[in-house]
Amino acid sequence: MIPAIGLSLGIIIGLLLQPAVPVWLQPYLPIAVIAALDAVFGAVRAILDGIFDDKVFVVSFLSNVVVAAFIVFLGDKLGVGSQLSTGVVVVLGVRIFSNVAAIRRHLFDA
Amino acid sequence: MTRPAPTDRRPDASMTLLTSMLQRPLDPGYAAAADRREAQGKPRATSLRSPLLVVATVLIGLVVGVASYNLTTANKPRSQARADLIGQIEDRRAEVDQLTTQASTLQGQLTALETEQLGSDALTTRTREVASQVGAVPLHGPGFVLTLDDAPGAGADDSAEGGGQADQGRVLAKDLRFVTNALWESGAEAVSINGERLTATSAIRFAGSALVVDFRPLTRPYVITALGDPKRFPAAFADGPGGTYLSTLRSTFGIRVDTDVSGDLTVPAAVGLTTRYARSGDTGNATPSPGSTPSPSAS
Repeated sequence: MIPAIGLSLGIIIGLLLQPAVPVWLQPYLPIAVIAALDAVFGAVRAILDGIFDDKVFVVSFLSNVVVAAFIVFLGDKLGVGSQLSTGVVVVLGVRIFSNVAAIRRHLFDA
Repeated sequence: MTRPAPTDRRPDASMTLLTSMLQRPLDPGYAAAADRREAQGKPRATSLRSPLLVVATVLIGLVVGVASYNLTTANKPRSQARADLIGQIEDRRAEVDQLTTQASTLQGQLTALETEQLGSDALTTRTREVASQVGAVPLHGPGFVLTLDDAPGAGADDSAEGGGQADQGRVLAKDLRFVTNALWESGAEAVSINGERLTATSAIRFAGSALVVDFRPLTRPYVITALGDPKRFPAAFADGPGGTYLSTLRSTFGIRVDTDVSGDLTVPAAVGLTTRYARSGDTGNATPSPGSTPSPSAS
């Protein structure tokens, strides 16, 4: 319950404050969102599995974001930014899908 | 050459990346941490109320909120800058239009005053004749209007950029140049494109994907007004290279061409008709030979 409240609070603050993100940071925003979603679904699955750990959650989120941003940055420097972004999105997307499938099995037994 | 005996390798061992990605999607860290806690005699899962978790969830929510706000196209700084630039262009264009109107009004007044003051001796008649030929005064008379437009679906909407297909059906500077040259050739006495009088120094060219006549961008459709002998001129144009060129444009590229013969058309005066380097000498009695009509080649 508390994490859900925190999540919605963060979204509301972000939408209300409307902070302007500098242009150089904008390519990283979609990647950050995908990484955040991956961490959230991983955490939900861990909660349902009964093995949730807050430190692992925080560290996995931060490392996801940092590694994904680094890969995109590296790709930009090498001139293959869009391809590497696609790679990051595919990997994190597959993880999100399998985590959601596991959550579904927990919730609906199907 | 014998194949090695089959071992207990998995058949998909060469696809370990895919298997591991699909079968172990959860961070192994969760299971490891749970095992560690169990070994210490604590419950496998931690509480959901730790301050660290609250901070992290607020942070994640913030990332999602900020991203969703910033990734909405309307809020991008780039589109703001674009809107600013479009506004500036429109302001300046309105300014130019206003100054053009003012200039042509003043030019009209000047001509009227000149006529009033100078009367009508041979020299002023000659001057007026030359002025009408070089485009310094507006002219009206019989002629025809030629309307060229991009082929349907080609550049008709601004969103369809690039794309070899779309560019095929667009009116190019080359086309306008050819058509205007053909008009002069078949006896046009004055030509204007979208209200821009063509003179001996006019240029029709491309700037990016926009057509520019005398450094002023044109918008489609391109309306060419040409004055000339009503009996001879339209037929001469239709039978000459211009007519052939236009029918090729129409049949091959689908460019829309409309011709409208009219008895009374107006061609405005050219604005800003000056020479930049050439100066007039003492032409007191050196009358130009009457046969030398200006032959403005619009290229």
